[in-house]
Amino acid sequence: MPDFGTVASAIISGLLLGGMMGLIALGLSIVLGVMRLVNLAHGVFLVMGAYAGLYFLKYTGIDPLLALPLLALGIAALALPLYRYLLAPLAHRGPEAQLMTMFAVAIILQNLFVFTFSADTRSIERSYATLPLSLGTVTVPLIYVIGFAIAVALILAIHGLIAHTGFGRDLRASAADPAAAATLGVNVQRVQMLTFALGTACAGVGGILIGVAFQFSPSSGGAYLLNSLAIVVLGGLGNVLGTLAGGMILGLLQSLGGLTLGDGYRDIVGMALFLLVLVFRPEGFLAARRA
Amino acid sequence: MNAATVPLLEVTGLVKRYGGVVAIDHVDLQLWPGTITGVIGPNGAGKSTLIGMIGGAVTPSAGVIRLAGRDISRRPASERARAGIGRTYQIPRPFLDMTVAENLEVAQYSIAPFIGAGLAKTERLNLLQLTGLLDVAEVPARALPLLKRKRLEVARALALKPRVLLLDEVGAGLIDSEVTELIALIQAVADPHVAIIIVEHVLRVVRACCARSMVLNFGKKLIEGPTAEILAHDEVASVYLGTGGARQSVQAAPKDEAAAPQQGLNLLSWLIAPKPPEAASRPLLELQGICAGYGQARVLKDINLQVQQGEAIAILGANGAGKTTLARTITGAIAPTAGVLRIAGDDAAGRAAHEISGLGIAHCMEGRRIFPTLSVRENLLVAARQVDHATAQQRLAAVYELFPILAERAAQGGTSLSGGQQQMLAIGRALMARPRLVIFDEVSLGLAPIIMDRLYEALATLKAAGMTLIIIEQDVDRALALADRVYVLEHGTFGLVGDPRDIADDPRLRHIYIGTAD
Repeated sequence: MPDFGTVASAIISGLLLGGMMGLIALGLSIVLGVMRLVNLAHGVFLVMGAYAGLYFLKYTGIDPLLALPLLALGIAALALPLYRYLLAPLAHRGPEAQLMTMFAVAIILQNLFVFTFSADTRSIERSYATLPLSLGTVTVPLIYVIGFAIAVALILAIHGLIAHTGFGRDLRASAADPAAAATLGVNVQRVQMLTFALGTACAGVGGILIGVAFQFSPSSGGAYLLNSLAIVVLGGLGNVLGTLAGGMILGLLQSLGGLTLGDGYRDIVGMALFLLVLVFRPEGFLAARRA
Repeated sequence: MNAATVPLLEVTGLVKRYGGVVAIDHVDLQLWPGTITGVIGPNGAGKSTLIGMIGGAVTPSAGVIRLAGRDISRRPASERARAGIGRTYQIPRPFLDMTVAENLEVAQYSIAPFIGAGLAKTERLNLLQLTGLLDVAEVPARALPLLKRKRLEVARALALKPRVLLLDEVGAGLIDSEVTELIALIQAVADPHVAIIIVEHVLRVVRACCARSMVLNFGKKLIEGPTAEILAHDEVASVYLGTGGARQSVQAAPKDEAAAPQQGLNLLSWLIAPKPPEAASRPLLELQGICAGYGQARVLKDINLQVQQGEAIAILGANGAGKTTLARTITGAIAPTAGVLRIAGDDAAGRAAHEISGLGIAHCMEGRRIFPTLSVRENLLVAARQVDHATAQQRLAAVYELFPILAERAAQGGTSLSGGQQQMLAIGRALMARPRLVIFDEVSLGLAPIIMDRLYEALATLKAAGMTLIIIEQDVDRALALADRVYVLEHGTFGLVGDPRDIADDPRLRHIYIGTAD
């Protein structure tokens, strides 16, 4: 039986890590909501972010967490031509066309990473990444706290963007009824492009956080994609704060799963939860109840 | 089970609350086999909510629903369907890619998975015969016109062998001759073992089919009794029809009076684009030889139309004549395959919908298309493009002045409003762009006459203030009362064009309507 400190540390670590996963899942969620597209390249975009952070540090010597806005913009900019030249022309060819295209993009990018960076496991080496933060018997890695703070700040910012700005209104209108939105003057293609860029930036920023906190390789994306899908289902599509809560719940349960069953079983807990939610509450446990 | 003493369907103390709003307030209802009961009332009275709760689509907040004595209040809709509650939807929802016969098979096999193929076929043929669909049995549902789709909707509900049949607004969207056919259909499917409820705006249907009726108002049962007595009741008339009834009011209102601006509307100019200096010389909208359609289907053929600044044009035609396709072509939702489309002299053919909106054409869409995830206020603001905050607020104030109920409901979800209020929201939303021309597409569809009066009053106000209008309507009288010029679509071309007074008396109008309906 593990002592109180170990259990409390695991619970808090899980919640903090879950917050970061919530940010990653939010990127998947907004693209799904607005474009009706499960972006199968989302995990690979995350890995791309991690490599971007790694090489940014290597060539400039500046901590990628300090240059996060710049890196996020750069990753978002990479998404624009993908939307413009690959996704937009397929918009009227049924949902499968875009889905399969992004699957192909994922395979191509992953192999490009192996080719360019080798299949070796890497990590963004920062001295603070290994520092523990202790309060009594509870100890969590400092980087979890930093990553959580960044992720929550960004999720709240995106929530504000979607709930309270003109762009957010256009985004929600385009998600609900794109044809009606276009008739009212909304440039739906532009909304979709910016949403896709924003979603990609979420994956990229998440990748940098993951890259500092953990190790990654070209093939790391798949697991994050699956976890993100579980979180989107858990939090309810189109519910930004629900996605944060969904991420934290998944992180907590994965931690508890790791603690009781052994570290190798973390992901099984997540996927089991995913299936249970799909069976019993497909609209999400935290789905917004609208009056 | 004692069939003689227990009602087939018994509703006791039924309540439905949405947040603070009580949609249905302690309604009681008893149905006996072999009866047809009408449920009428103005929009927002709670009729659809009541049907929804009996069918299982809406969960009651309180109260009990018993089917032959058994409490089914908390059973899911699918279980109620198998237990014998069949329903039709206001807008038919057939499986579009299946044939008519296959649509019925789905229902047949859902109640009897192991029914013999021969027996199923016999039953199916009887049903097709009864509902007048025998000749289209092998036609995909997608190809059916509205009346046939409504017939299919009824046939599919009957295939479940219901003990209680709920018919929700089956008359909506049909023209007079089609309503006659519909009445004959309902009378044909009446069965001594089945109780039928009809929720309906088209009073002819209720008058002809229902021995008893119930009037709902503000979620409460106002009165219940024999239909003829109910409809003669003064209180009912004032609630449901307004004073005097809609048809009379339209006919009685002389044009200059209808066009008089409403008292105290000072903000309207915020919603109507100012006249450009070149307005006199160029038509605001010009179509020459426009053809359009969907894939292989050519819906519009060689359409010519000119709309001058400040005109009100009515576009009439039976279902399937191409009215909505014409609206979608003008607003850029579909691109014309041939022809010239000019907006204030600029070539606009093939431009995207949002660009055409930017040229000053607004479209108040058929079916309202309110965004459910946006509040009433946000629904309005979506259409105020590229304007500063102060201007957007001015336009909001102007829309609220036109429809004060929208100000009261500003923070509510867009689709939490009643049908009539949603239509007001859709009209207000189209105006938020401060357009040069608005296309009003079937604004009165499925609404109670008193609400129609209110909406057409608003349209008359807009016209008097100088707005250019295109009105697409089923309801001939209303459109004729407002329009300067009338175009009647027949099989995708203009079969009749002219002054509303001449068109109203033209025997060809009736011929076009009844001819295409057959």
